[in-house]
Amino acid sequence: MPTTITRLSTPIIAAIVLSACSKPSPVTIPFTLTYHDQPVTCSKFGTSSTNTDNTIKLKDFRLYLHQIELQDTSGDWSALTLDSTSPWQNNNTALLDFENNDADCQGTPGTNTALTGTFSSENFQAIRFVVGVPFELNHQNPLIASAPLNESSMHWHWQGGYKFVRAEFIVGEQSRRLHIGSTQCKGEINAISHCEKPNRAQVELANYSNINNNAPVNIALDKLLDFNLADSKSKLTCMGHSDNPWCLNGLDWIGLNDSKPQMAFSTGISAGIKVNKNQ
Amino acid sequence: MKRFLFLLIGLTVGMVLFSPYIWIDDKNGFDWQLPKDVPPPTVPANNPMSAAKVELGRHLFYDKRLSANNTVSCGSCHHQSKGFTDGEKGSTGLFGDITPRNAMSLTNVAYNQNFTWANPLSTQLEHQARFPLFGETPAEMGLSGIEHKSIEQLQADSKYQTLFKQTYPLQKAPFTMTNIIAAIAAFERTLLSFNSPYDKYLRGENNDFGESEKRGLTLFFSEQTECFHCHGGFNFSDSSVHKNSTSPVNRFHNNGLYNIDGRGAYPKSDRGLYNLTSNKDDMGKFKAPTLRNIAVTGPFMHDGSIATLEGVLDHYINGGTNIREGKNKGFGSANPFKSEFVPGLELTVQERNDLLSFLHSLTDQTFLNNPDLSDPWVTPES
Ligand code: HEC
Ligand code: HEC
Repeated sequence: MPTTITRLSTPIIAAIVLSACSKPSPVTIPFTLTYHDQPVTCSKFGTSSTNTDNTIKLKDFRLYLHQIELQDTSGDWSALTLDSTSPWQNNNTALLDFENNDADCQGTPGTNTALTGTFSSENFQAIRFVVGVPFELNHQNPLIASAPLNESSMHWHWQGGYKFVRAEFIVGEQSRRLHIGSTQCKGEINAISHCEKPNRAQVELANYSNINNNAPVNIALDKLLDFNLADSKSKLTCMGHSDNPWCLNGLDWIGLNDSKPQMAFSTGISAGIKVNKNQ
Repeated sequence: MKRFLFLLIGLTVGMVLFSPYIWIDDKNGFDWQLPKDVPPPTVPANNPMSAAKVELGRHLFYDKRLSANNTVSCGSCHHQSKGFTDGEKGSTGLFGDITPRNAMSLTNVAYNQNFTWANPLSTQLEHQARFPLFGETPAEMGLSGIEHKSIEQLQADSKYQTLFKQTYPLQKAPFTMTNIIAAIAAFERTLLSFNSPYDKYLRGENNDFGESEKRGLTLFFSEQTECFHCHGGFNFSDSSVHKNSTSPVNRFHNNGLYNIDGRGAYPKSDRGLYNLTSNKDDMGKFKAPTLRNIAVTGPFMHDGSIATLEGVLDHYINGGTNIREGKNKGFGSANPFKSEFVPGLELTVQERNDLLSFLHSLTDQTFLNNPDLSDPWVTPES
């Protein structure tokens, strides 16, 4: 008996001690969307120098993130506990939405460009997350799911899983779409058992610190869109298959090519971003 | 529970039935109106059949308010008179875009174990309905992300107030997409066709099943033509199952429609099961659809590329489709992924005609004209 008590009480005491010294602090992680360092919105896509004749337009840009973790100043990673009272987040998955259905966009009215939650320590120095919806939540029926997974336009109904990334543009006369989600799945819709290509990109950004107050994580579209489309016959709709150049480029961009670092996310203040940008 | 001994119709001719319409679902008294020898389809436990639900589903199936600009309903691409196909190669969605695939027949669709031309993941009609409603490549009904607008319109219609209340009497807020889809699926499960001359012949009833049809039937189920390997069973599709089927297997076949690179490639726009699996052996594999009402469901194949039934027979006679000109040039007959059961056929002119007569005998006029399956929004005057 006594041994049991000791064993049980150790973690309890540890928990009390921990919670006493590090109170969870509220954290907001803002995200920005840019093209050649200029902000991208439904009504504005870069400047005349980066987007000559205003040929590029945003139609839609939404993505899911999960398993979001911050690194405290002693180098330990722990979860950013998402505020699940927000309609854009449940306790482990968030939907970022950069389009408001205005101007050139075609999507949903609201936008959500930040993660909100709490972190176990006051300061952090790096962030990591996974792009997509975790497997356990990914194959449910979106028509009866709770927010933010109740969005019918973020689901691949015929594949039975969510669109992790929904990026759509008009470039000149061309429509370019990039939809990324798990593919080559087995089982049945609403009960998928396994996907050969999970397509969840893991992103880690060093030197992301809250000391530099509320600096955003940036999503740069440069490498996605400055893609030579000399091969005009290549299909500009990517549904996660890797058999066309536009698709391959999109998968590389988000970080799904094991031999290339991701080219989408950067922290505006870190050295990490420069490494990525100079690829 | 099982009040009747189920019998499978295959080739076994000569089952004489006395009372054709006696299938009643024990649990909720739903009357399937099926001939005695035909077992009812399986129904998901969370969407039991009821007469009220079927009637609601019929209204929704034909309701254009289920598209973003109120121009397209399920019925726009699935016409009763054409076995619930639309007679086009590809169908036109709400913004004028053409679907890459040919609208499928919904004849006896309740028995299919997977839905659309090549998707083993889609095992319920309740899944399938989401594809045209929310699909975007191309948009068919265009409700992706904006289904609430459609639902609001329906809710404002007093007709639906009654129909939803009757169907879902215990629910406080029955106007949901899930309920809409459930009702459409229930209606689809009543698209039952077992009254063709062939069926009547099997039942020993008066029929137009003559000598040519009989010879065609024998040919169809023979090793000479091999048709029955893929289009066999009570629904002329190896992908159809019923309540008593044992361990269903998803079956997809390459029947030699294309061979663009000489190594079996189908056009990039549609490679069948391969689209989903990226497994090279799945190149050009599609579901063998039902052949019931086949004489009214042309054009044929997943892309509507064969215009007539005569053309389909020539396809099988040649052991595939051989295209000599254009971007899809190639010998489909030499497609390495083609099924061994499409070897090419030696048929006399009479045999070809007999097979055709047999295929025509699968047309069920009762089904094609059944008022219970028709568009309820069409007023008799118009
Ligand atoms: C724009 C035309 C169009 C509309 C509208 C449409 N369909 Fe279809 N339907 C098709 C096409 C094309 C296919 C083949 C799709 C494929 O294989 O990917 C199909 C296939 C089907 C199938 C599969 C049948 C089988 O045997 O596997 C069912 C069931 C179906 N549709 C029901 C519906 C319902 C229910 C609606 C309304 C909610 C609907 N359709 C609206 C064109 C349409
Ligand atoms: C190896 C399996 C197989 C065999 C054997 C076979 N079929 Fe088919 N059949 C299919 C498949 C698969 C399709 C759809 C192919 C596609 O769309 O690419 C099809 C399509 C058809 C269609 C068009 C259906 C529609 O709705 O568009 C007809 C008609 C048809 N077959 C008749 C026959 C006849 C008659 C025979 C015998 C001479 C036969 N089939 C033998 C597998 C088979």
